[in-house]
Amino acid sequence: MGYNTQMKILVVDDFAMMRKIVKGVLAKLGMTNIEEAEDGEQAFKMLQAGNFEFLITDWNMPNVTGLELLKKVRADAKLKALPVILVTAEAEQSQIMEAIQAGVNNYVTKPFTPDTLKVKIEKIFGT
Amino acid sequence: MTVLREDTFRGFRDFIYEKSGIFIPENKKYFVENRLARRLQEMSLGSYDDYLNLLRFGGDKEEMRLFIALITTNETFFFREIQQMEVFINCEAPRLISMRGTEALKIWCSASATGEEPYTLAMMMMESPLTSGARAEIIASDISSIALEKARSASYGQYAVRNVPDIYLRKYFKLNGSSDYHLLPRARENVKFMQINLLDEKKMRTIRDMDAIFCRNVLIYFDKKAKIKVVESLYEALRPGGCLFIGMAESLHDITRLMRPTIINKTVVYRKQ
Repeated sequence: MGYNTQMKILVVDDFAMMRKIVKGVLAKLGMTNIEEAEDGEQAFKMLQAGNFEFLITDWNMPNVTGLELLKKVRADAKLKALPVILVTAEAEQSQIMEAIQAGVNNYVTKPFTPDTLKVKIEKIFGT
Repeated sequence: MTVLREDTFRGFRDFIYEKSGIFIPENKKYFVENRLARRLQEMSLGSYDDYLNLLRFGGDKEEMRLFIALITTNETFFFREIQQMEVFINCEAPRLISMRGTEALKIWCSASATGEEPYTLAMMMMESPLTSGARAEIIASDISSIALEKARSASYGQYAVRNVPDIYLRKYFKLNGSSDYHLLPRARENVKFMQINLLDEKKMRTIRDMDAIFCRNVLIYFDKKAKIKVVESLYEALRPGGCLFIGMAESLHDITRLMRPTIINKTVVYRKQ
């Protein structure tokens, strides 16, 4: 296993069921040190306060979107190196380009399987 | 005007079945012809054979996306088969909300096409005093990513909004020009989209713990084997006590015994025990 299963992860989605799905997938990969946020605003506050090592955030959220959250993270001196995966509704090329330009580490398209997420996580944490 | 030959039709029929599970009977050759004729013209292709080969061997993902949209997307409208929606709002939703307690109600529109159905549900839930106090999470999925993009852009024409009551039109739509009805964010907030082919078991398994599933007017396009497979997946995705709505003219008779039909106001609701 090429990643630390103990790392502290923040999962962000305004839908509880989507957070549950992501948490379930992470649990299958052995990762259980997970906290949740309901939108980008709450997430950013939590990121600033806690020592998170990995952020998985949905794109489409009210108030602060996943892309805006990513931009705020990259602009923050303390958080700028945080690995981020964006969850998108479908692999729309224009959206992905925008996320890449904003410094996303990788993305997954909903719905995704544990295997898909595992590959992306391994790519980020290097094995 | 180029003609769709019998053997090419069978080629398309098999290809469509393989990609979408939709079964096109022999007597529906005109359906394939109608849906694809314009695309052939746009691409300046001389024959249906050329188009089939391009899809099979061309490896063009964008063309595949278009093809799936052309074959699977049917024009629909807001507040369609409204009796079912009313039964859901008035009878099923209150029961499910009390089961959930403070948690959000989880609803899945599994063949949402261009979004009219999930958005109708979202608006009706906000308007009814029986449901407006509860939170709802509506997942809208479709096989066609082009249909989903249209759903997310939330712009509709006259046809789609023709059954929308005035009060909803005024409250939830913004009219741009003379015929572009744009759905306002407040009606879209509780709806999330994702691409799922109903026959893709792996993706279907990611959806769990649903209170209600809508799968209306899509099973009619599947053969019995595919119907059984889809209904089993939907059953697995429901939580105990959850309910399934299929099209008003459809039936699960001889498809499943897992869910028993309950009739409420002449509408059939399938509940998971």
